[in-house]
Amino acid sequence: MADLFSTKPPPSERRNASVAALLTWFLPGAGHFMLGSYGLGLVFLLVVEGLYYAGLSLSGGMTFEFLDPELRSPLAPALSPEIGNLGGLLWQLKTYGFGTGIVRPWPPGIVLGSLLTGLSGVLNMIVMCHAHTLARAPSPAVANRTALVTLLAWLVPGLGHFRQGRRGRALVVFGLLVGCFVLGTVLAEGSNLSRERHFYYCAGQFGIGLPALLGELFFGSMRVTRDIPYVDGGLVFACVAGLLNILAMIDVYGWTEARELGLPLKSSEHAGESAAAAAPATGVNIRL
Amino acid sequence: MKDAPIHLLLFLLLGTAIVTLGTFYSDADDTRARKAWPRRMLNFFAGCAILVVVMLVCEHTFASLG
Repeated sequence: MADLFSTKPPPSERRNASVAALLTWFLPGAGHFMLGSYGLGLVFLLVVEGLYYAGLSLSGGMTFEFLDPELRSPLAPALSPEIGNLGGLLWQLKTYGFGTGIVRPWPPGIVLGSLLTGLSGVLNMIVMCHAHTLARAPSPAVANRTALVTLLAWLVPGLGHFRQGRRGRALVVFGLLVGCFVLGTVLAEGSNLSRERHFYYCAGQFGIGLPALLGELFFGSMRVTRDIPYVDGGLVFACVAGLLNILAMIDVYGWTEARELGLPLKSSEHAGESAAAAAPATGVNIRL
Repeated sequence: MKDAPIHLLLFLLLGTAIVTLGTFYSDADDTRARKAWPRRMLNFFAGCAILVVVMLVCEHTFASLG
């Protein structure tokens, strides 16, 4: 049993990190299977696809029917958080598509269901990070730490930086992004929290993690009974806050991976010099 | 146009968030990022101002109903 859940791949099994991440994108856990981490791959497969299946069951596969008829095309759902789980998304499109064209009432669990399919996409992106680092790292613990901080960075803006010990940066990221999201929600008077009403803006603000998830879960079905003067501004603020948090997640992921693997940190100055200087000093055998 | 100052203020707020996150993304070191931040802010808002002028000129030249 211990061997089954061991995440350490034999050296001969190490493959290209990008291939592992791409395989995971199509099928959660496939990258780990390739790397020889069968137990972990199976757990990821069950958790990520289980979430997607639960979401589909609750929403009746009607999430993409939120889109207006003129926006429905095979590529339209690519701008949704479900894109993180490509296999699940393709299966949903093939099985449910955009509905039959006959207007039906939404099932009672549509809000929670669409949140779960989106969550499955984001979680699979974290699993992709894990597979990518696992293929390059000398120890599986490195991949665990990298994936954990990336997940924390998504859940609460700045939490990943805080966990890394970059307190000042964490405070700025949290203040700016949560501030933008709250201001956007105030300007839009909460109407931005409905995925049914603003499908694509909601996809962007999904990047801010818990604030968007909880907001949509509790206030996503709120009625709008009058014109909201600054609704456009509010939507842009909340959406940009989510998109900027994805940038913050990449920063957290890149920083941890670079530190753990002994790679040069990203710098706008002397990038070439630091790369050349750090490479011989690492002493870690890494396959890129 | 009566609420133009509010729109301008909102744009300044969002622009600041975008530039700050962009600066952090470009530089892992906080001290260097802090040093680069004023120049990046200036570049961003100067670029936006130039874009506004170009758009106004285009509107006046090609799309003016007058």
